[in-house]
Amino acid sequence: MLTQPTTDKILLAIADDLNSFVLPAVNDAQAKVLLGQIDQLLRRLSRRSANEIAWMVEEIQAMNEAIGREPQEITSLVLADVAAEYSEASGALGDAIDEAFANEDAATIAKLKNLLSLRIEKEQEILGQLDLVGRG
Amino acid sequence: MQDPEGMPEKITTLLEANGASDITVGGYQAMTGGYSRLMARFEASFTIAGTRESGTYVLRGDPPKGTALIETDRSQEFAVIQAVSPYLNTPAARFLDAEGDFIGTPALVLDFTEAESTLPWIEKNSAASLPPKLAEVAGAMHTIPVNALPEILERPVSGDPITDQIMMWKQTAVNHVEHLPIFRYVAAWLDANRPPPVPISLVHHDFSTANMMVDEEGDLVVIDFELATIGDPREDLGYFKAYAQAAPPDLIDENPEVFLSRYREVTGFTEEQVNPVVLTYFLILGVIGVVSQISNSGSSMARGETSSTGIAFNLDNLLFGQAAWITAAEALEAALDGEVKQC
Repeated sequence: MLTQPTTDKILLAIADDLNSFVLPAVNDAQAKVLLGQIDQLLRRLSRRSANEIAWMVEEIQAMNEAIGREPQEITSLVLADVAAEYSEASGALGDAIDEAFANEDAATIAKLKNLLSLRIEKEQEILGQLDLVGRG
Repeated sequence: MQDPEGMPEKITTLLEANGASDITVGGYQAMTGGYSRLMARFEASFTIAGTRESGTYVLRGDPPKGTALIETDRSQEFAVIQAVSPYLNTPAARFLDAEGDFIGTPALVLDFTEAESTLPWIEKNSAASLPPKLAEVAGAMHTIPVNALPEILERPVSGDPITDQIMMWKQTAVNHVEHLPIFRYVAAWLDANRPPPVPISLVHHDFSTANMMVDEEGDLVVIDFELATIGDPREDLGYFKAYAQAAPPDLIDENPEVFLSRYREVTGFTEEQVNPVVLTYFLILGVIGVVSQISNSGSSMARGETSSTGIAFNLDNLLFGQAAWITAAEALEAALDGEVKQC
């Protein structure tokens, strides 16, 4: 398969063309709102597609380590499989959070919250600037 | 609703079914700004209950099946607007097509208001006069007698609205298409840091500048009651602040002392019940109604049950929210570690 330009670069090019050539030609107000949303989504998808599998794999390992689970080998790098593993580890992290709060275990709460903060950092990288296109 | 040629006839049949006669309808045009529902304005003249009436009206209806950002009930919205109109500055609800028999989709007709959208108004006039106005409109909404509100409105199942909201955080985390540990953290944190209670009231649940306008007197007009329930009124204040973080300005932060003092005056709440720390708590708690709807729609799209750009776009708001909730919790913990132990 052709891997270049990579998906992230193609998505960005589509967003740029929509913004530069399609948007100025559109007069319908609702269609303009939709194009504004599509533009933001494409730019976020561009940032996400470049890294999401690597980020999930990295975070699965960090979550397992933080909650004291044996490191688990990730056998498939197919996106849906990695996402399923990521969700499973996230569920286990959620259970550990509930337990730490129930036990009023401040040290564990702080440790687990640190993982959440790292997740948020990545999410903010994907999100970029938030513009609530379409809201009055 | 997106067919300007066919809509006047459909509106005419709806008005006829509601007892209007000598009806003319024209000037139908779609409106932007109806975030979750389709909106259009039209001119109409008709006679109803022996009175001749003419003016501009707004049609607000459900989008085509499977494309709604959130699922809400037009009949409930109609009943809520009718109930709150005597107490609140909001355009009256006039006609209802509960099943979409006339309009083709469930819809309601509202009076059109000449009031201006809040953000353009602020750009022209500044926000300085609005904090007390916001307190007054919030206070008016939160002091409507609960027994004047429609029975159809959801009430706290547990008897305690904060417990209900925390349960909704937990349920949203469980029901979402993938595990959400940040939601689990937020739920546990909210449970561990509850503020003192206040009496239950109407809660708008999308109380933001996006759902407000400013009228000729400079008073705020509140619109869009599709998410309203009965709960803790401070949920609206917290939601207002949360929304303002994503879409400034924050009219409460514009002058928090004036806002809080006027709000306490109108509602009769104490300083222990409503203060900056409590608002921060509700900044987190109060968003779950909308967040849960966004989560449900996103999950439906992930399962292939529905699909739209708007749903995917809205889902990204959760990324913004997750950062804001954790930041707010950290700020509140810092305040609680001081001597402010008000929450």
